Amino acid sequence: MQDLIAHTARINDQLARYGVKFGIYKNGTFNERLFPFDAIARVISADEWETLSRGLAQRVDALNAFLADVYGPRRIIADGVVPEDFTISSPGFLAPCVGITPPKGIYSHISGIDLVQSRDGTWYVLEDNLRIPSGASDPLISRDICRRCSPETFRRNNVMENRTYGSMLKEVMDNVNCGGINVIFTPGRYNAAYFEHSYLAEQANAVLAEANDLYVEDERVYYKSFDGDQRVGAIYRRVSDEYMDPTCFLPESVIGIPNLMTAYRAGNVAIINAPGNGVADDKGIYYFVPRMVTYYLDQEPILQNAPTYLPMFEEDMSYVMDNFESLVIKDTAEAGGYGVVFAGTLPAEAREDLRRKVAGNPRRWIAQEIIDFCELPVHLPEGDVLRKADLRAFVLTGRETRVWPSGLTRYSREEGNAIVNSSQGGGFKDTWILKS
Amino acid sequence: MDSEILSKTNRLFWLGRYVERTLISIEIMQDAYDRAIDYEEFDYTTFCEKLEIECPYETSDGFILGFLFDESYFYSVVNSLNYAYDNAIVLREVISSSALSYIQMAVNIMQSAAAGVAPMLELQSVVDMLYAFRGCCDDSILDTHSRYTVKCGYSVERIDMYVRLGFHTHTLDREFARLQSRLQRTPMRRDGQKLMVLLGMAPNPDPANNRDLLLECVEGLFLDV
Repeated sequence: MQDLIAHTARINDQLARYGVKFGIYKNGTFNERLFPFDAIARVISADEWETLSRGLAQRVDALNAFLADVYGPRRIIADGVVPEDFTISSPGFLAPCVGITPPKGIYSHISGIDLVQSRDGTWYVLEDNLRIPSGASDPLISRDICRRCSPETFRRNNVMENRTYGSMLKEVMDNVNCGGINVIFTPGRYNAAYFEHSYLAEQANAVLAEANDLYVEDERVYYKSFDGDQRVGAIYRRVSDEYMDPTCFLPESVIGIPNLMTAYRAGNVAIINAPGNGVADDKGIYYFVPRMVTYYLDQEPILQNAPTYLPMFEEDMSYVMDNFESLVIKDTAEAGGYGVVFAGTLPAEAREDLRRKVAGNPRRWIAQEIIDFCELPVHLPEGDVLRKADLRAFVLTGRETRVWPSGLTRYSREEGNAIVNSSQGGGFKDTWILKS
Repeated sequence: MDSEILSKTNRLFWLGRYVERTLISIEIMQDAYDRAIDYEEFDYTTFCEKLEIECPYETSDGFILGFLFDESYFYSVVNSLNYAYDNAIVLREVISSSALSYIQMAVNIMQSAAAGVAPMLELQSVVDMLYAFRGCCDDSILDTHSRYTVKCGYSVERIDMYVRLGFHTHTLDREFARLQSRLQRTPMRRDGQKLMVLLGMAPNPDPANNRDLLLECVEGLFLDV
């Protein structure tokens, strides 16, 4: 890999050339930042990947079954496996989706599962992202550039091809397409992930459209094109649930498509991922996912959660209060690396304040044991350093559930920091899956 | 056509116009800068009057650098390029990542040229990138309508700038011929009367005497943008 690493600066120049950026709003101003790339890839062996990918597919299948259940018969609540508090009272639960069966019964077509590996090699799932997980485009385009920079590296290493993501995404869209073209629906160029929206549209041979390009008539969605209006069969939406259709959700949304939900409810268009998936990737429901695997699939979970406590349970509250300083406290209302606090690092007064908040509103918080997850080497001009890193794996559900043989490895900017989100200044790596 | 349908057509057309405006402006400024070396000051006041743009600068050198690199000056070349980028960035799946990357590189070079030790020299790389973009578009935009909409943008801007500035006027007949060929292959609606006037004037446009009529016809030729 040394030859490839020597090209780090050149690869980053090429990524700048292709506009691999993410947007960030700070003090009300939109700025675009380059996403720093580190050429030292994360390497996962074939055996390890075999287990990991089985576990990921299993987890996503269970989550899809949960979504079908919670918007349908709600057996899991009636059977007491998941409390009502974490389902129909969750902010991610959308009442307008009750009773709607999406095309082919698939709710989460593209799932981004965040994992970390502890120092003993065990993988833990930290978070499930079933709404609009982003980040596949970064390792996708960087692989292409890396191969050009150092073909020898890829000749010598038996790395699985990852540039199939566009065709995998197309297959997922085609599988549920209700008749018409495939569209990637973006809020517009000032969205944080706009590069990804436009790049995936190109890779999956889909049309990139904003709200003004689309309309609903007679419960069907149409795209306005040069050659007349074209029926839309599948929409990979990169717009949040609440902004997607102003006639159904937030009426003030100007980036939504009026009556989209009517067309969806009539079965005339597939929405990828299905609206309402937030109920299954809430930080609180995460606690119950291993139980879902057993409940729906009658299997033992292959992947573990990080040890998690729900303060709303008396026993867990007691443990959390007794061990507060050694836990990481997560606000279920936040995302993107925000609202994650290592209680032990807080000044005493702030820590007691947080403790009171947790005690006062236990449903809002979860607590987790701090996993001493492994660090990966990062190449800097002054020498290699170690940084905490996670892995976002992408699981695509079409005719079958498949795991993309790659993933986004994100690393933290500062030594010892466990927050790896790009919005917090971190960088990314390619993820190599070795062939057997 | 419904105005909303045209968002992509509009962007393609203006992408072409801003790319062409950047190229012509750089060519003129490089020439002006060269002449200024021999103490022939660039008549920037007349230049601005011809383009009908305001001028916040008070010296020839100040104008040349400001017109090229000042992002706070609405009419600057760097802003023309930024406007081209603003249109290109939302057209990636139409024009391709490869074509878009040349605009991105032109923007990057323009920014570094502004702070560089030899900005006029570095501008040549911006020109190179924009010509590479044009070549790449020819190859990578598969849809004929889209490809020719960008080209109509090039043609309209070129005729507009040449007529306004009296620049390369001997080539205007060739530009009219190009535009005539290109507009057959774009979905944009045309004003038939203005087209007839333009075609009638094409063999001898005489921009010195027909400036206003030529500008009215070329600017108003396409109804949807």
